[in-house]
Amino acid sequence: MEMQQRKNGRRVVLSQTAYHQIALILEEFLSRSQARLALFADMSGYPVVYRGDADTLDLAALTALAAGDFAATAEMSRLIGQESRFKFLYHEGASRSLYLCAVGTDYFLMVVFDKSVALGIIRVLSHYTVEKIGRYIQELRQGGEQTHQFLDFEFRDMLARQLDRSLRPR
Amino acid sequence: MHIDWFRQEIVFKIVYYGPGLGGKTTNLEYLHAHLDPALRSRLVVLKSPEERTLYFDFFELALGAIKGKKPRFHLYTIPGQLYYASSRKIVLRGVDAIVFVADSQSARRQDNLDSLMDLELKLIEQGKTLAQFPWVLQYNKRDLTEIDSVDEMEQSLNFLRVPHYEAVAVQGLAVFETLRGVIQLLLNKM
Repeated sequence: MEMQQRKNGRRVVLSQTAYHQIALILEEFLSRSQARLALFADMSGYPVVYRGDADTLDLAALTALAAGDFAATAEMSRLIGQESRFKFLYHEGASRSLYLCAVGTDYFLMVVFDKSVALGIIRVLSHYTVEKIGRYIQELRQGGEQTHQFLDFEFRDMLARQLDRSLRPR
Repeated sequence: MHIDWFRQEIVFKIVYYGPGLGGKTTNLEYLHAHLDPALRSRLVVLKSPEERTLYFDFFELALGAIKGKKPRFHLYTIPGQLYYASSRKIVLRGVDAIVFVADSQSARRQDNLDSLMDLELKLIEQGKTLAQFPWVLQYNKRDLTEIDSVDEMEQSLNFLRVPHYEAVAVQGLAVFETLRGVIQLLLNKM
């Protein structure tokens, strides 16, 4: 059952150890590549860990769109007779570009970089970064027990009351 | 659902499902326009040249911390047209709860059913089923003429007796109630 849930990306629980390890890997990537932002995310559209300059970015929307990008191009890949999805996606802009790289089947790495940074260095360093992160993916476990610890009765009760107050038209 | 112990965040994914032109995007647009701006991200709307949803619409609702924990809700719509099947499958990935927006017009009766069956098949592919999943029905466009009665719609669509809401999304009627209802159901089922 747990394997089935994991396959479907049902309940992802990020432990502090996994968070720190992945954050360190992203920091190293940024310092070596001079990219602006490195974000590790879930294919369901959740940002997991990021490092870099995200002050002016709407990360929730950007991650949802990037996950949609993977999904759409996976279908394109299938239509041209490929069995697996594209390993990376690249969108080149006049001043900034986006590089997206799949991490296994359930996660991806997104890199935002300026035109002063060469695509080649992003590609090579992303490749190593994805390999390193791959070792910690097993730490991203689902766990019913941990979910209950987070969502105890008091929290759910307070959340329900807050929703009642917040979810009203202005 | 995504739990981040480090940042003390919990993120839920709620998807508005239903036939094309039934009012899913209208629900999201109304919510976005009438929520406190401090609580929401920008609204992402990906429309085709014919104003139909192409991939999905999306925004994030982020509530303040409760006992130090920050709950967030990712709200998505799916493209209703049947030929966008792959987009729907993707958006449903990791879904925690669903609002099924049915079009009350009698002429759309079969479209509602087809869409609900499509949803059940997509859930089954994920190892889930409507019978064991938090979802609610919204009967939209109650202000129009040539519509089915609520009893008829209940008979046709609500075979699992889930909560239902009579809505006019374009006027905001029952839009917030529907969202509150589905989140409450989700929390009760946790």
